Amino acid sequence: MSEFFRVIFSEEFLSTVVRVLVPLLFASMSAYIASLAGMPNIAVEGIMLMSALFAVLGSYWTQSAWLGLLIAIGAGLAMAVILMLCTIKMGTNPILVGIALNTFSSSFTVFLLYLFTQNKGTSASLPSVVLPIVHVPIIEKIPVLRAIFSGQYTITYICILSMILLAVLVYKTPLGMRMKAAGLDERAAKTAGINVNRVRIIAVLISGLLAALGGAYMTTGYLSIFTKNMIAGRGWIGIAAQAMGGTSMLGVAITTFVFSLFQAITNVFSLYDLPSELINIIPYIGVLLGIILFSVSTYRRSKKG
Amino acid sequence: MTKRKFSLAGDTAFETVKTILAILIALAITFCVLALTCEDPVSSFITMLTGPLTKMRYFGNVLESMVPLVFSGLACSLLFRTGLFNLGIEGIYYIGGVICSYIACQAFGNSFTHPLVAILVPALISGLLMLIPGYLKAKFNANELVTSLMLNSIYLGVGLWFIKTYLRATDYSSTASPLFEKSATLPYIIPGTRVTIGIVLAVVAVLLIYIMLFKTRLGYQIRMTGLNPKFARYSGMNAMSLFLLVHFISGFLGGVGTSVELLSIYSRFSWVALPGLGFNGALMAMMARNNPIGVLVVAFGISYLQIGAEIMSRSTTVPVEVISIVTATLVLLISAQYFLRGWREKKLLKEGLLHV
Repeated sequence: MSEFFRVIFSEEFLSTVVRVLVPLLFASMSAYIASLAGMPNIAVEGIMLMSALFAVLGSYWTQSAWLGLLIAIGAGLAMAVILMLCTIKMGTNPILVGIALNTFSSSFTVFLLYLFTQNKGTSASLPSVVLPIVHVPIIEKIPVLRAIFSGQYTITYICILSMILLAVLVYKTPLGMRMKAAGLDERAAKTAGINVNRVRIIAVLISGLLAALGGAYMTTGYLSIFTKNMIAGRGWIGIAAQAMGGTSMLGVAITTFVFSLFQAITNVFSLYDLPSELINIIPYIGVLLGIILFSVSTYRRSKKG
Repeated sequence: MTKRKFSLAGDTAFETVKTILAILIALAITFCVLALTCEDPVSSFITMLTGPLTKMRYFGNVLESMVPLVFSGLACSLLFRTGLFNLGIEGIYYIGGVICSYIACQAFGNSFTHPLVAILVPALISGLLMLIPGYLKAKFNANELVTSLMLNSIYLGVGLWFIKTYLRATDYSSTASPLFEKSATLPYIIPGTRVTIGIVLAVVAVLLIYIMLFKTRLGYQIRMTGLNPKFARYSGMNAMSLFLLVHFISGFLGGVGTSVELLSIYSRFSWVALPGLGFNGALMAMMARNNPIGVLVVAFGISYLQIGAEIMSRSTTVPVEVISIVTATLVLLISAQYFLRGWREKKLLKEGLLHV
């Protein structure tokens, strides 16, 4: 047990938490911004998967990791555009579009993978390029902080930057206010002169962008190859975190952090001889219990009020 | 009573036109993809469309692969119709499959009672398991989408652990159960194919759910609640027991579906990931607009194309996953409310003017 605590309180553990946290944070923020504007995006998983593949294909085609990242973002945005067209222009239920897009990407990525590599499992045979690991000069020397802010993958820094930008957008700009209004009450927002559709289109595009970055992170940093269904439920955890955090960005971020802590602990546990299948479900049980507690307390409050 | 004139803009006719157009667009997109990816797109395309009819065995494959889709499609359409976006059937297919495999590996009974137990027990347990998200939704209004997704992952973990710990075949290289007992497997009913009694059960299930939905009080309540939950509540329907019942029935259907699939096609349990059949069921339900008969037709159509694509992929470099393009296009176009709406409105307006 003391061994366990020694691992938990080490710098390497902190750095693992960050590594696990980044894709989850992108996923939950992607779900957050979309549902803030009243347009639930449950295609996060599918968008991440698609972008993860296109990051590999893109960097292989162009032999540049940055262009690969751009292509991955393009793929993610294309998925977001489909989601948007179907829901806003065609009046389809966003949940149904999300389910369709997720199933589509889990087989379509295999289709593309096979076309380009003649392999249905991994992209190992494609020599793709990954983004560099960044060492920040001064922070590199400071204990604890260096585990978090230095020696991480490039997209980790993009993640920090986008979280700041997102917070500014949501809390400090008129657009963020309009998004909240569109999400709270569509008709009231329309009456107040807000172009609800336009606000939602912007929100879905940002959501697609964030999910795409999360997907690209998986293949240009975390790993250097694409494997079938490699997102492995990260998008769904993001959606769960959003469901718990609601309209509070901080709430969503904290929930996401707790999940990544769970996952990092799971990774540590896997060193010991324990049933890994059961350990792996701890984060999901955590989410489930969280949702139950949240709903029960909301229920109690509504009964009182 | 005057006989109503047939009109393309009428409800049923319009839906038919819309569906046919969606199918044509989906096939056209597939053809374009084939043209981009393989050398002889025309003959590949023809193989894909006619392949299943060339041999009895191929056609049998179509019937085999539609069975689990019919069951999961029915289960999802019931949930969707009640206005519940629960995707838990995916996890039910896994955990129900594990339970079914455990029973199928025990030696008892004869070739009638063994499969009966191996189908009914997982079905009952699956029904009860579905009550978890159902109760949380009915009582505390917990988001059923999130709870069911979390339960999917939990069922996968627990099921995999169970297989590895208690039901692992020692004579097999990867994680799988031992071979099912001979008495548990379902017999083939069409010579030259591997079609089992499962297809009959699927058709029976479709008919039962159809009758339940359109000819009984319960079905009326389900349809009303789906259309307008508030109306249903104010008119005195008990949402709690309705939600629970719908969840139980759909879990039961899922349990039957996975058991029939395992006892028909598989000789041992070898799923190490979620099988995807539950999510596909959601797509079936969407394409069928949550109509039971529609689920049967759509499951047949998609399985037909799937087998066609498999036959085609043997002779070309195009993988069978090309079918995902057809499915996605169909799902999105058919569930789009506004697809062709402008055209229909013009048509209706014209007809209206003619009658003035």
